[in-house]
Amino acid sequence: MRNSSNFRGISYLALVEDDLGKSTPDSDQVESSSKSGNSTPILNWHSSLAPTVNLRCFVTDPSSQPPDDDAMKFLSLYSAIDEMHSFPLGFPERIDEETAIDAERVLSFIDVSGIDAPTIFSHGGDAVVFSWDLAKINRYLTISGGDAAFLDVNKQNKMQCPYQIVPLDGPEISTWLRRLGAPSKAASNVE
Amino acid sequence: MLSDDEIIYRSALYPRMVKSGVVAPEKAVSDFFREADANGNTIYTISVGRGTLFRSLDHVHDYGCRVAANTNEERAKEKGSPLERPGQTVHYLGSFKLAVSDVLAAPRRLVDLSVVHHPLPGLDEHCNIVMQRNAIEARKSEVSAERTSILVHLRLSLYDPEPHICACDVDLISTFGDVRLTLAPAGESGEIPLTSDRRKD
Repeated sequence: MRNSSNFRGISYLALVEDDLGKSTPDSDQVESSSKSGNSTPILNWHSSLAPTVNLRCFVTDPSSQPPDDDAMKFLSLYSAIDEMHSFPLGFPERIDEETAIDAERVLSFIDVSGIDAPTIFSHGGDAVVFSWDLAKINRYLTISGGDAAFLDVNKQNKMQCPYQIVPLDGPEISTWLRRLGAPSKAASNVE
Repeated sequence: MLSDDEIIYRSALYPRMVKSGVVAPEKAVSDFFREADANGNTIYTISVGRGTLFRSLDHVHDYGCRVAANTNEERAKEKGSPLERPGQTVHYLGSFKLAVSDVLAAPRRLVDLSVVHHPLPGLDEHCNIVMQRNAIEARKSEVSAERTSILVHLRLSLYDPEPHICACDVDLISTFGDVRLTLAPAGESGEIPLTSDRRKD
């Protein structure tokens, strides 16, 4: 499916409007380009036009500019999602294709929004969880079934504060994802 | 079914729970294992040892060493030849404690949680934390979100990590003798060690 798998030169994934009318790209809708150099990321996480969102991979020449630490973390996260999807059936970390695509869409939004790189783990075969270790809370974003579920957990008293579950193609998803802004850097990318 | 005043022990195993030189809660309780119960119903389990059947901390560690040995034995049978050691083998590194009352206090609406005694050959102390979907209708994402909540709750409920090296693993001390059990998240690592060797142990 995703041609983004294990690309060493991915600088970002961008969501662009597409007239194919599908919210989730098929394999032949994922375009990769071998063009070098820097490109300006385009992000239209769409909201009201969500059904026309398509995933597009831009590939830059890795030799053109050394990636910074954050870029490497995001590269690792994209690779981790690909790896989770490529595990054979029966392996606990394996995730299905829909979940992998949705997780990469969300990750691309996080990436271009300047939000710090999260950690990542999967569970149940149909869920990818991004998490941020903040000062007093851990923040979790579960991607599953075409939705995003937000959860804050107080580290001291274990109290959980789940927020609403938001459809990835719904109008409010951009607002919710922008609220993720995590002030502290994640220590690593995969649990 | 265990009563809520009991204590259970979660074994820390090398290599799948080790990242950046530590066994952290998110690796010690990474996910439930999917299996079928005696009636053929799908359940999700996490293996633990029953505290009331352990006479001492040494006994807890003895159980952990037997867990690793049993796993290696099964893997060698599956493979049909001896395992490469330590490349293909599992090794016990210590245990975390968990109160059954904390397990049962996990926030949940769509699944039922219990801790049941589930003896295995050579592992009479073996128990399962069992998660089973109940009859309440819900979207897939709601169930997944609840599973995240439960996993996070269990990770935060681990306490008293106790390291140990089994007598049979003394020759591998240079490989994992420095691994620590911690209640803090795993430290920074440049690599992403997604261990593909994650079967239930």
